[in-house]
Amino acid sequence: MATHGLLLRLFLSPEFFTVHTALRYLTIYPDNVGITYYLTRRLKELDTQELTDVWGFISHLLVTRPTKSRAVESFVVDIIKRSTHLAMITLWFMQAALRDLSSSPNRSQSFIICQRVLHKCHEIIFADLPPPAPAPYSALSLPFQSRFSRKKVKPHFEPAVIGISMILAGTPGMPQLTEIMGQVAVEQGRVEEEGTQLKSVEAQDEEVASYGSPTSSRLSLDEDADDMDELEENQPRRNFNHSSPALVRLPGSTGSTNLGRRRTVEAAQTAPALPLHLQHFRRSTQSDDPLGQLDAESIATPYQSTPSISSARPQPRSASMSMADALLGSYDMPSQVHLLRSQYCRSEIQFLLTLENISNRLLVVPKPARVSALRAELTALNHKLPAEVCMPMWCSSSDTPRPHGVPQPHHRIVRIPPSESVVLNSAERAPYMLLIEILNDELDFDPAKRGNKEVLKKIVLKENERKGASADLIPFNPAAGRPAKAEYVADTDLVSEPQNGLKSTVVIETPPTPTSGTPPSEEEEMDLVEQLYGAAQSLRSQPINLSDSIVLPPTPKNRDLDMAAWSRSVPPSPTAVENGHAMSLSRSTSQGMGMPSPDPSRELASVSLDEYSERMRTAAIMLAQLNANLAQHSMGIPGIPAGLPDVSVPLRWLPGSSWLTRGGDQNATDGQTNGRLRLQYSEAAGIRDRIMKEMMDLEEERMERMKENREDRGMIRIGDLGGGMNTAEDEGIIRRELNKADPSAIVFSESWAAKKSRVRQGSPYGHLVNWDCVSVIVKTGADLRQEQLATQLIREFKRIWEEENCACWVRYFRILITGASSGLVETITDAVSIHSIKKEGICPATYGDPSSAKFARAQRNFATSLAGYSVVTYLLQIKDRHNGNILLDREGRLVHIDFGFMLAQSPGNLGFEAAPFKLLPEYVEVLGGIEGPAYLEFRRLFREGFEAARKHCDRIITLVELMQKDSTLPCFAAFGEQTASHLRDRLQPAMTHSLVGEYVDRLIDNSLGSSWTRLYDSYQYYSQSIL
Amino acid sequence: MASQTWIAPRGRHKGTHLVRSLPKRESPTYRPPPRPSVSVLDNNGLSTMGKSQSKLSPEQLADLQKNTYFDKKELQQWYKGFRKDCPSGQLDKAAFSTIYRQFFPFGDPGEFADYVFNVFDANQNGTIDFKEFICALSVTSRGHLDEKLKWAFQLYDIDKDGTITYDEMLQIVQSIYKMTGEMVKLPSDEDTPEKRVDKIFRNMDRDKDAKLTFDEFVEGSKQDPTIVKALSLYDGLV
Repeated sequence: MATHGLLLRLFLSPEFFTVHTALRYLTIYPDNVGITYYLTRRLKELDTQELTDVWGFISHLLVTRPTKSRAVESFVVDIIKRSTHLAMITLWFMQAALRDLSSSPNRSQSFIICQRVLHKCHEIIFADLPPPAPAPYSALSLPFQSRFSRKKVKPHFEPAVIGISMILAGTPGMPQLTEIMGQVAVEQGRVEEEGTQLKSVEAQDEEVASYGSPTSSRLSLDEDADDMDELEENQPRRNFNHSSPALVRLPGSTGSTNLGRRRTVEAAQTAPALPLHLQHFRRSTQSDDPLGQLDAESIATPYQSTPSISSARPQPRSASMSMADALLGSYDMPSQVHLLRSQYCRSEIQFLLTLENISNRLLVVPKPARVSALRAELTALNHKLPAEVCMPMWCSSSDTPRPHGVPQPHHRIVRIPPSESVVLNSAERAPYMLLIEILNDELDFDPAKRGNKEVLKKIVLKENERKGASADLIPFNPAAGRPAKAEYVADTDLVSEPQNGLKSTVVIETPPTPTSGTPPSEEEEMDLVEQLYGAAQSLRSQPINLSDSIVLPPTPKNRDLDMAAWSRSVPPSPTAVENGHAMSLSRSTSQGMGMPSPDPSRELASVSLDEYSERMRTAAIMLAQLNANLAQHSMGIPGIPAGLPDVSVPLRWLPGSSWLTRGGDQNATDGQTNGRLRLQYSEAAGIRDRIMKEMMDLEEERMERMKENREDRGMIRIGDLGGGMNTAEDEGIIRRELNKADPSAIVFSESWAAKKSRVRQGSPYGHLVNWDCVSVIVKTGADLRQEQLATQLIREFKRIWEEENCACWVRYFRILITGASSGLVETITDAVSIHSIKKEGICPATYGDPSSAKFARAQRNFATSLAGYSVVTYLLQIKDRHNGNILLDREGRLVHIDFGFMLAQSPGNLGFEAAPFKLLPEYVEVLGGIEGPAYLEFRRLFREGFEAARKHCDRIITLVELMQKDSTLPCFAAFGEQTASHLRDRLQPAMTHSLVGEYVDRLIDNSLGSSWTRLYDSYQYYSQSIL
Repeated sequence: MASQTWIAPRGRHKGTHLVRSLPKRESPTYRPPPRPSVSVLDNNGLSTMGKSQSKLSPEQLADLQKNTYFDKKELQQWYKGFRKDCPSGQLDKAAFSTIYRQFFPFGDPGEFADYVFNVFDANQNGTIDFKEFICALSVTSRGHLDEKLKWAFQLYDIDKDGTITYDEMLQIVQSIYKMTGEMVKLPSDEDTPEKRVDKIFRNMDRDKDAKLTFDEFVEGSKQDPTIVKALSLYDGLV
């Protein structure tokens, strides 16, 4: 066998070595220890941003190709130690992959790799620090890193031989080699043997199971997650162990476990309907929380950041702070950096989880009330901000020190304006769009910064507590002045905690609530809600615990700002009257449903913003119950027409509602039907409509009040009357649009720049120079991984064209995968679907007179984007190209979205869309007709783009080849590992230059002449009423 | 396919193949071994391990415990690992350099492997057995700095006369450069074997006689932090 010397020559030539080369050769020589470690060493030298771009491919490579060489795995682990973003992205990727893999009964190599890496992610993200006494290595690197790298080698002969000889070679021959290859010997030496591997994996099951389970149980559609459920049962015990010390130890002072709880208790009493029980669902179902462990920990955090609570106990606070100073002193700098990073990661993961959970909860809310419910949810979330969170895909920080030594800071999420959010029109899911205000370069892990110091103090106090520091070390006054209420809650927790996972038992064990006169039969009902929402989704839960990550002094908290604004304004009287009416309705509703009545003496005018938010969420719960009831009813009595749209929606997709339709659970169902919950259909429908009206009224009132406040909020004075009127007008638009079936289109019609400046004006952070905002769509219930693959491939085309100076244009947009069925998608701003343009006459912009320069520019843009997307949709065989999936932007460019069908399959496999790509006669018309210069330009660009893609076809093919192995994505279902060779065929790599011209012309002519495209559009029209 | 060759089942074909677990794709004909492989068992006290023995005998353990820094359990574990990769219990030069080719695909590691082999092969019988391996590992992972240096000195002192000549050093360094190809980026004053050896002698050869005595070698190595770091590769890891 010849040496690979020539290969090394290639790798060393700068124009040859790219990420794609590395990926390609990693798949060609997967077992060659030397080559794989060399390649990953080169990859490590690349910028983190560049690695982020291909991280999904690298992760897939790692999971699907178990090899003798551990190069890729140790590379991945090294990188996630370096970059917090990639650590989290890997965590989510592995969670999703583990879910895919767990469906097969056999534990494959892939499964084990997945578990192992996931375990590493958790170690890196959530690991506790070694004791503050610094290890001898802490001076060299971060303590947690040194701890990992000091893991011993296993007794493997071959790597040991290499390791020994590297020591020889480095003394004194070539010490640099020892550094490089010695490390390889150590890494390879750490490979577990087959037997021990399984054993160690089993030992990790407990943890790993909890990582894997959330997605499945959250969806609760998984029938095949049996083994997961089994594993899950281990989890509560862990949680219990974690949290119980905190509970036992002086809960009144530092035992924030109940502080977190107490807040919910207070909220429960102000809310009209729901009894306290519900509070416990979240606690009792921690196993459904992927961060169950984390949750328990972060709950056990001093709650000083909430003024209302800490002000009640000023003394402990100051005492604890001075102790925090002392504690902090025992941590060295690298440890403090680690604490800050870890804190950031935890907050980040919880933040995104909260966004997902909101979407899941919205699902059970009837469509007309969803926007109101969403805004209530986001109000609650916004009150936890600003926090130690950023938007991973949007944030450009790589955590790698820049030339002058300091890494670029992350941006910080400071505010989510609830009014800018909207639930998108979707048949079976509830994705929503929201606006996130950020401050660039605000968030770093420099322990010397004042803000970070505050955060650190809280963390070390928490750490100290968790490590079981004896109570007398803490100079607090235990239990004194502690409200009985809180005591009760703590007790409840102790009772219910061990029964995690046994949901119904928890409910029964729960002692009666302080709210008097709770009917005993209530448990049943709570159970219903709980089942409806899926275990972790109690609307009343406090979904996040970002509280301890809030940085106090520099910025005011959104909650306080909102509160101030809220209380300053007097609710307009008509609304109040209406609300009073609504309240009484809701009271009767409550009675009808056996819920405790709200306190009638409560004055509406004194409703706080938090109460508003609570009330809204309560209404949403009641709606969900009613909906279930109605569905049940209409199922039982076939005579009733399913006239109401949201009732007729099959409930199968409701999380946790499958019991309604399942025969086995007939008893439970009967119990419900026979109980108080049996309502006449019309009665129930009436109540439901009233609740929805109440919700919308509440939302209206909130908008009204917050709007008025915005004008005199004073950060930025809108001096002239016109400005104020504009704001009112905008609000009006949004309010009106709320009542429409599809509010998304109108929201999109406002220009992004205008929206941004409007939001900036209204934001208390708007005056800061580093203010910015991003718009994202939160999606759950859909696997976004194929979408992500498509956008990444499209970006590759985009790069090829940029390198080749080709004018073909396509738009890349970010997709952040947070699980097998959840993620964030970048909003394509300033663009509207062609469907909406045709249907509603909305146009993102006017393009002026055909003779104007503006029109010519738009026409040119149209041609470049049409050419770009034609090449892409043909080569990648992106199908389902109806007008709902094609957007037109303000500059006249097309943007394709929704890549559910590509590379092989087409919707329904009907074989419509036989045309190479979609080229409608209308498009040609826009380009000035068959003879028009713009059309000819399009043809030229298409050919140019096609040629450029052919020239660099290896880059595209490599990526597809990489992904096609053992893929669960539908786009590989048809051709499997042949997919890439089909793609290669379409690229015609062997064709001569002159023949390509003909080939391309034929493609265009076929597309133009195809009646198939038109047929497909009319098919879509008839089947989905998309124009 | 990788995992199959990697984790070759123990006990099968015992004694028939010397290096059962090594990948067959890496053709052994690539570099003819300089010496004919010696598969005849000698009487170095561990030769009986060539049979189906999967554990060290009490006598062997006692001997190894005396001569290494490992305890019984560690010795048994390492023995198990050794037998897995080397079922016959004996390793010849050809098999030894095959290991290197997995880690150094870009160059020719044969020469360097031979030199290292000679350091391992304490009794100079042409094969490496478990005792020779574990003693090497013991010194390099748990030995004192001076012990390690003494061991490293043996590599460069090819003729075992107690000094390292310029030529000896050059031969070893050349073999290292051959092995790595260009995969290691080196500073311009070290990018050829000659430059590197010149530099080593500039730093270590205090009396400028173009020879390194053991003392010069020890002193010079201790003063170079990169060398000290190289020597500590396995510290705490084995």
